[in-house]
Amino acid sequence: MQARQHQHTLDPLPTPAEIARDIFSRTLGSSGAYRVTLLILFLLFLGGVAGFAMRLADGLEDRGPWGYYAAVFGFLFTVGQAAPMVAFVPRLARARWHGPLARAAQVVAVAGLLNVLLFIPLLWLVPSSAERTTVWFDWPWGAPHFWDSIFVLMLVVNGFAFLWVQALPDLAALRAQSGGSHRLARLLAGSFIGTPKQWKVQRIGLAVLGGCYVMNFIFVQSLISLDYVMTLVPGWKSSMFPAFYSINGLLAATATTILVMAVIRRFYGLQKYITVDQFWNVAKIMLALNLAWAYHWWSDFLTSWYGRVPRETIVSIDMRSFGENTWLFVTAFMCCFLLPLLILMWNPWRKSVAGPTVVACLSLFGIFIQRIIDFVPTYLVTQDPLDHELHEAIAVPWPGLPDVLIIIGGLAGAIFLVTWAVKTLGPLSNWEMQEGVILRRNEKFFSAEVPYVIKPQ
Amino acid sequence: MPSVMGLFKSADTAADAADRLQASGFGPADYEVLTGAPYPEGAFGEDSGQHRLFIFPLGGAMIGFAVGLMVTAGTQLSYPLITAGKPILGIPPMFIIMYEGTMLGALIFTIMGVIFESRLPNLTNDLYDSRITEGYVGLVVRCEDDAQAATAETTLTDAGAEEVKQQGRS
Repeated sequence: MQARQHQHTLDPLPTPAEIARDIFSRTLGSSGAYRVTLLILFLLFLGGVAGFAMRLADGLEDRGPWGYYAAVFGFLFTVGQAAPMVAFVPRLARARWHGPLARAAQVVAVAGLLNVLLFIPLLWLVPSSAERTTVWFDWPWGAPHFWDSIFVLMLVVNGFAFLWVQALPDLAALRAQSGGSHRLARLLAGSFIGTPKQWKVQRIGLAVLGGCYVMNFIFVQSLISLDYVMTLVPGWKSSMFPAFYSINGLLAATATTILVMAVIRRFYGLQKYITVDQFWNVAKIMLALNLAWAYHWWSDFLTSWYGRVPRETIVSIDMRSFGENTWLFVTAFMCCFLLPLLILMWNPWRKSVAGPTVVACLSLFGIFIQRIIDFVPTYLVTQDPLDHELHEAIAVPWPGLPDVLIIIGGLAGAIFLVTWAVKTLGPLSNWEMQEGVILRRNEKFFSAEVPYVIKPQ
Repeated sequence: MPSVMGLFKSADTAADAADRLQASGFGPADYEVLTGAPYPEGAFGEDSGQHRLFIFPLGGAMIGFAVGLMVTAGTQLSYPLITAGKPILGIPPMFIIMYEGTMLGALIFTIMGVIFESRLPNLTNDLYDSRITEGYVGLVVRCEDDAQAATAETTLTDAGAEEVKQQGRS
């Protein structure tokens, strides 16, 4: 009798019409705050362009001063290109909670546009594979610059294609809802009207492009870590580093998705749709990746520490862990592992909006610091990359004015693109939200009301 | 060729209308279901049609792999310089470009496949309603002549369509 007095009921499900109204009113309506935000971000981005011009005035011959620039590229390329994977994996696993986070995860791919631009100067900064020991061995032409450029472009195009196929039904809906006045929707929606065949093609297209994306992401991140970081340092040969670099990317994927989701939820007032469910579930994956971050670092560190080979310890320990840059490493360690573990190990914090969001911010900051450790001292190495070993561990210097402008401008540029895309495509995917409602029923199960989710084969 | 579209507020009534259409002599290939979100295949007894999307990434990957193999093997065989005792056709650097070619081919052909397969729906008219994006379901019936269109209109109206639109009737 006692149990029956505390019957568990669920909130009623919104109707497809309510969902469409909520999403399209936010997408098609105009907002002063949105325009002011874009303006501020654009001005900050212009500051970054000024910082870049100041750096460029000193030339591209000496790559030492470009370390922070390369770190910004490394960070944005990790963060911007990683998040779309979070939209793919739960869909593949047919998780019922993925609908509200799909847009937040995939929309970050638009930052790829900036990443391609940031990548171009690096082609002049790093030597060809003939002047160092790379995975390209004695490849006769275009290594690594030409082929890496193709790889970077491919990942960015893959991200855009994945976003486009996911947003195709929403673009068609926007075209219909705006009476054809939404120019981008008119251009990109094609002849999509929602026939069963088009839905089937879209579903399979998402699966193929998502699969390609995951495979490309890991491979491209590994190549970037090899060609633009590791092989610039004489004697640094680590099989763990590319994996550690890629793990940073996977952690960034979950952290970015959570952060974008939290911002969208707050500023578009979508608390009804983006619930604690999404934060809780992604936070569990994020915690696993926080642990994986520590495991990969530990494996790399322990091998060098135990082996005591000078050419390994000077890089892995003296330069990247406990040596010249201890304070940076400890910050990254705290933000990417220790603090997330201490916060997310408690279910009440994990099962909340604030807990995962705080950890996402910490993780992203930690990854940024990690990218500084990866790139800045590496670019300050003046020795011939073909030397047997690095003679002296290099400390990370404080950033100069151009570096600060580039850091702020680079981040602002990426946020500008994402903010614009969220507003243009919609803060939530209309079709994914409607699908979630169509395939769900709230039914009585003894005294409690529980969600039944249909999972079609 | 005349077409008739019935607009239904709920999926239940649309599914009922689809049954009635079949009872009236229309086959699953004669009508198209328009929805704002994907429903499980066959939810309306419709014919969702065949697609060839799987062929695109597979074909693209094979072409990309072949191009990658030709580029890598071709360049190295054209300049057969043995370096540091390594074989002329060194698999590790070849693998990177062959992988790149495979993924690039699969990616480009998948995009082409989505465009090709989605831009050619089995629909020969422009009947549509923006309410479909708000959860309504549209049933578009392709008819041979005006008499069949009249039958379809009556069937859809009787089944509870909120609105019936027509196109191409004389």
